[in-house]
Amino acid sequence: MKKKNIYQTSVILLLLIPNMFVMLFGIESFPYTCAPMFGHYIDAKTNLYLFQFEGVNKDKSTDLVDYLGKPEDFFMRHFFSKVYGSTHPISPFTNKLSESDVAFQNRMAVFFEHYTKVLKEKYNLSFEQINFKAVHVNQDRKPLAQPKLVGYYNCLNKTYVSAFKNQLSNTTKQ
Amino acid sequence: MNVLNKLATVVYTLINQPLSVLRFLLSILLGKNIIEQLYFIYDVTDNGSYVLSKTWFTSLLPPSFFDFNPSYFKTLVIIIAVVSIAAAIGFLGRLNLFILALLSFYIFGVSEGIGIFDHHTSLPTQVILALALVPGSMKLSIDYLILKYTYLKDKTSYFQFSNTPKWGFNLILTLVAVTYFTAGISKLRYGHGINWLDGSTLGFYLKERTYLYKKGDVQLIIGDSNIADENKWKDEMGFIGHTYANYQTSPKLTAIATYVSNNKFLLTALAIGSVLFELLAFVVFINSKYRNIYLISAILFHLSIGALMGISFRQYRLICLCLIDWNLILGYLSEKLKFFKLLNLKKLSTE
Repeated sequence: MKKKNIYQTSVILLLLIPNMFVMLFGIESFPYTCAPMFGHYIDAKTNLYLFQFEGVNKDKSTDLVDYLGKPEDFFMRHFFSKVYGSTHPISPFTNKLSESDVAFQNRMAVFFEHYTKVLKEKYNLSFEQINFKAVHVNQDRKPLAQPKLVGYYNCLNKTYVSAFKNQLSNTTKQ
Repeated sequence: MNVLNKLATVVYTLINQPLSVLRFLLSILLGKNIIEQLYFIYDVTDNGSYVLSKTWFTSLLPPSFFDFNPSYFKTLVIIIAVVSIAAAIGFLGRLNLFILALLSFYIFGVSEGIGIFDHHTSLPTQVILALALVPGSMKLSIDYLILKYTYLKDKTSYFQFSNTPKWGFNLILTLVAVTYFTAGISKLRYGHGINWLDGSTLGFYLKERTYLYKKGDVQLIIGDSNIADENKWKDEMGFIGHTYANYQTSPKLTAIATYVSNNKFLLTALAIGSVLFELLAFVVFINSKYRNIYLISAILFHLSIGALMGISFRQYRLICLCLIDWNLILGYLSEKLKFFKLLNLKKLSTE
């Protein structure tokens, strides 16, 4: 009788604890989810963007949309959720429990190192720099502004540089 | 009359062994989904794993599990198919259910690493794992048949079952309730509190036509212009999330979705209704009547999302269908209809 109760309690805890954990911390990792589908707010004023990646060699730049290695939605969602991360400290689009500048820089470097390897091995492409841009669009994907540089990855010294941070530090210096 | 009696026995057996019926149908559906996902993984140019593409489960696996060499493909498909069928018919049922759950953790984990968390299969995978561990899921199975006539040497009819503890059934019902409840909480937690109830997010998705856009224009990223400058440190746009897709392509159904998205009153009512429905998930434990009302509503909820957004959630509907208290429904019908009276179904509630 006692053994049966221990087994029952163990199974219940095994199945429910991971669900409670992801619900509480608002993260997901298959098959446990905080069920974030449509768990965000969008209205007419919400800013929407498309991400773009561009390989750069001297003066020549190449749009990498045909060289993502996977469908665009998979690539962008992976990049946003697992690599770049939300500006909000708690985000349902992630498997990260915390965020810091060091962790962010490290993830960006790891991601771009992997991606440059894919470009080389699968498409025989190599670049000096990969630009990461965002285009402000409406829901019909019509651009509302020129693409803006968010940051770039220097393939030679393997570091990601945030354009925003650069701009901030330049402003501070001035 | 004899035929009717036999029919009654079959119906009676099926409705009183919901976990066995669920095991049979869900194993087949999940197995099929895993194989389809495997095809996708093999189609993707970059299916290689690296540290940021791993889930909690796939990070436990050795590197050889990520070598999707074409020569392994057929073997993997055969393994998944055999395990699914064996789990469905209940031959070494618990073991095969457990392996099927692990295969799902693995294949959909790889798929999440490539880019998209498959919400269609998250609950079904957990239910399959639960079925491997809880009592009552193997009553209609080859294993039970073998056990009954060999080890137990039981001479009674196959359709005579001992009572099954209810905790297994209730645990699976809890997994369902937790999933819906969490979805409701997420909408309030991340959807600007009660602002989500104004229906504008729902309106956005009803208008969305993801399939129309060319490569490079598909995936939208959401920026939050209300974030204070001092809280922005990665970029000036304040990226906070990505959008989901609307896959519906039928002109008639997209016309209905557009109509709804332009009707503010309907949108608000649907948004409030959706969140209330999700937050009230635990009413399934009040009694069978509430459970049936909730589960039938869940099926209708998924059917309407499927029609308007092209997201079927077929396996969720199957789980809900199997967890309905059919005794209550058939009891009601047998009081009202002559045909059901003739069947003389005995009551054995799963409440």
